[in-house]
Amino acid sequence: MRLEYLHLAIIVFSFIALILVVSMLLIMLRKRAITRARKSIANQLEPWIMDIILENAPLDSENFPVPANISLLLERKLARKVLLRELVKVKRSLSGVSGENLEKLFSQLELQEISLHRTTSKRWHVKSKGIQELGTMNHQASYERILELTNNEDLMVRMEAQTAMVRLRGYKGLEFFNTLTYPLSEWHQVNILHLLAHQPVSEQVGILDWLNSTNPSVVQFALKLIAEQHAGEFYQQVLACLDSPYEIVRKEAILCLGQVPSMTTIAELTAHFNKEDNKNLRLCIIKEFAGNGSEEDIAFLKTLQQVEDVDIKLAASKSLLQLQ
Amino acid sequence: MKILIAEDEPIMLKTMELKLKRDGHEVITANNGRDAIQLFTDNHVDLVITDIMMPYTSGLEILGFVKKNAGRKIPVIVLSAMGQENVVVEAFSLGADDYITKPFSPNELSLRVMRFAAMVAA
Repeated sequence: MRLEYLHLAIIVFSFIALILVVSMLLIMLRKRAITRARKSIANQLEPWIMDIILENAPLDSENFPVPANISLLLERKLARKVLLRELVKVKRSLSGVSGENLEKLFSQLELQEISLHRTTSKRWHVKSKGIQELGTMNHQASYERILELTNNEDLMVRMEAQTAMVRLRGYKGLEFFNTLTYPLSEWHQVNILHLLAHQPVSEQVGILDWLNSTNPSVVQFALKLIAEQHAGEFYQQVLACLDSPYEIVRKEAILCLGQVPSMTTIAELTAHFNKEDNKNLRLCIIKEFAGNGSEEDIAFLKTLQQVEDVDIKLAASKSLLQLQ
Repeated sequence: MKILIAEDEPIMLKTMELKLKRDGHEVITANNGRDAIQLFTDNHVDLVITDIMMPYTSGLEILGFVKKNAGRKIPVIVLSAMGQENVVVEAFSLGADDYITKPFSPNELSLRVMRFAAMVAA
């Protein structure tokens, strides 16, 4: 009896193992076939894309002429996806007329439909990919859709959408700050600053609204922007941020004042030092004396060398050393 | 002028190749760093254009190899992505002669190469 069960178990196990092996083989073969098909399609598309990049393909009225073989190829969904992937990949490396030609081709073939469909996916990475494609291909018509995603519950989707907004419209793209309820990570703030590095900040971009935002990370970003661009015209607003209830805002305001100093900066920081309860922020203020202080501040720093707190003493001594 | 281009993105590589060939240069290409070093060793190259991020051997390693083993002055143009400023500094410290930040226009590349061609001819 037991031997019969054993035989049966062996047969069942072997059958399951066989099914597993066959399934794995089929999956592998399918993946290989798709990869091969993608490669073959990419090879067929390559000369045509190069013609467009190198401006060989003359514009037929508003559109690029699509050769018959490519037109036939693009009837396949996979081919359109491959073309989209290739265009996005090359667009990241090309600017000028060549880059603009790729954008035109993207719109002409309505490849944004694939990207827009991706933005409706439930999977975050597919959604992010769709947003990234629209941003990279500078698809201005998708602005509103991307704006909707800037306050998405998923961090990655949100970041991708916010980056795309800045790519599409520069400072104007930051209008998502008005509705943003989630915090902006410091890393992402630096990313956005990097994208805006060559565009000077002015009152018109909405910076005064951001400095009064109820989202402390938006205020923090605005302060970082002022500091990076040494925008001294916002000095008074930066000073006002020292009274913020949020620690991150007060800290950023202290750092920002160090980058846009005026004759009164040290006096303001000294006054704030006496009001500030947070030790880390007090240490920040002391550090600013090293860069922006003068001989007149030596007496104040010497009084700090007498306090009980070792960290404050040490920071004051370091700043004193730099001043003397 | 004989130019070696090292770039792992196929369409970019062919675009640069075609553009520079049209400008009258002789161009050889490699899609990875290892092949680029081999081609450099086997050919009498006048200018090297290399992407920084590449499989097997990075653009910086190619740059270091060229500057160490060329035996004569061979200009190297480095292609870098936006946000790789630190790498560009490293490239200059290794002897890079110029750099182009992606995204760039093929015409810009063409003009920069022309400048080096004039220097080589002089």
